[in-house]
Amino acid sequence: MLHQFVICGRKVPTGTEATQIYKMRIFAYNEVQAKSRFWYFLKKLRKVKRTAAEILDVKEIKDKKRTSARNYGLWIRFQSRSGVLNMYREYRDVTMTGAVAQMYGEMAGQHSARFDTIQIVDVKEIAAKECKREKVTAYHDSKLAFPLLRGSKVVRNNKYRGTFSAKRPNLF
Amino acid sequence: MVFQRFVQIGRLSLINFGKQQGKVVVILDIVDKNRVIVEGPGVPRRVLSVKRITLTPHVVSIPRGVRSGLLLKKLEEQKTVELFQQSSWGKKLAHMERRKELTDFERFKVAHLKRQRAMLINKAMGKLRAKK
Amino acid sequence: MKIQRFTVPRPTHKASSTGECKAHVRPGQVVIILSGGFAGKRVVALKNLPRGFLLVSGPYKINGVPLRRVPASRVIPTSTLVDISKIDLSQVSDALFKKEKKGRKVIGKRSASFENFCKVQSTVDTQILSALKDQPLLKKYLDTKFSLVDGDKPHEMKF
Repeated sequence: MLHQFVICGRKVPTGTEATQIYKMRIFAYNEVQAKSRFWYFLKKLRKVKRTAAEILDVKEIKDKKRTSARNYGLWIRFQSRSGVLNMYREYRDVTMTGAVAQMYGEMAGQHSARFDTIQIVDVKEIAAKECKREKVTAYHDSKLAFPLLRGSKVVRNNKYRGTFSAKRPNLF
Repeated sequence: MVFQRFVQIGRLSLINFGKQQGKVVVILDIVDKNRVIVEGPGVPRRVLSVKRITLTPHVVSIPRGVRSGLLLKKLEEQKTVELFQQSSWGKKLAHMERRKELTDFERFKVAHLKRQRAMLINKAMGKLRAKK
Repeated sequence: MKIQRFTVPRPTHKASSTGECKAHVRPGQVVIILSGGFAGKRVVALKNLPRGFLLVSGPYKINGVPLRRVPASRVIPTSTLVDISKIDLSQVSDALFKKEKKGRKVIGKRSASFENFCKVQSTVDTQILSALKDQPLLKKYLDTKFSLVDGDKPHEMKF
């Protein structure tokens, strides 16, 4: 399961001069991975290396238990096999980490993208009217109705299930 | 083949898996093609996979993502749950539920009445056969 | 699905316990005997005895189960109750169940203790039967053995 962390770090102060503190929001599967990503990005953005710097704080931002669907916009930078691609993607989910997890899954499917080839630039909850992708806007219609084609059969408790059935299952 | 039941806002459905199995819920919003937000009498609002619900023919007209109080009010006004319970499907479910709750003596009574019914039927059938 | 467990103590064979066993089975409750020659019989529990035993009676006239002491852990208590609040059990004691020393059998003659047992049995039974007077179905119920068929799930049944 994906988690959202906020990590603070800085260069280890050598004298009396105050050092800059850097704060980063990172999506990762655990704290160790989050810290590793923090160093990775910091090295790219600023002249700060892990050997001469320290992490001050790692905080997980837990998702609120939400029960309303939201739209999320994701700006990502993807290192494909032939070059760097910037992308904007949209997802509908209940939580932000859910949307990010959807993105990782979809990128893996569509572009064979691994976790470390994707850099998340920004994630935002966006209003319905700002959504661009049809995949998301399709669900904004409150009159939307679609049938269940497959897999909506009555899932019985395993213990009540026999080996054979006299009736063919109804799949719709 | 024409589809009659749809995943749509206001669709009355049954939870078909887990602890809340058999409970009636209403679809309040559609997250995506696989997930919906549901709530019902005795079921707090939650996200549920469409695989975990079975659609009924009944629909309650409600606005999207309606609040719990209004939902219950609308359900009561439109008698949607009641209609489902009066349908043969709803009756069958209630019947199964009652059968599960029977005590030993009650089970015996059921068997006894069944035997008596069979006896009456056989008697009547016997008479009919004799007439032939 | 909840699995119902019967919290009945196993019979302890320690001589020290003399107190009444906890009232898991109420007097008058119909119980199903699970072991022994009368396995499957539905009988009326009369009294909790020390060391986790129960005093039961069929009654004998209905299902052939005499006054008997059975371990409470070997019965399933049901929710059916027979009103035996006014029953008089003063004649029933441990001595009643004591076996006689084996001697020569005299054909055609009952021993005195057996005669006594029959007398106590019939007085207790008439009291139970009077409680069952207006309930022919309950009588029939006691007369029927409990059994399971294929597909029955006793751990999910309610008794």
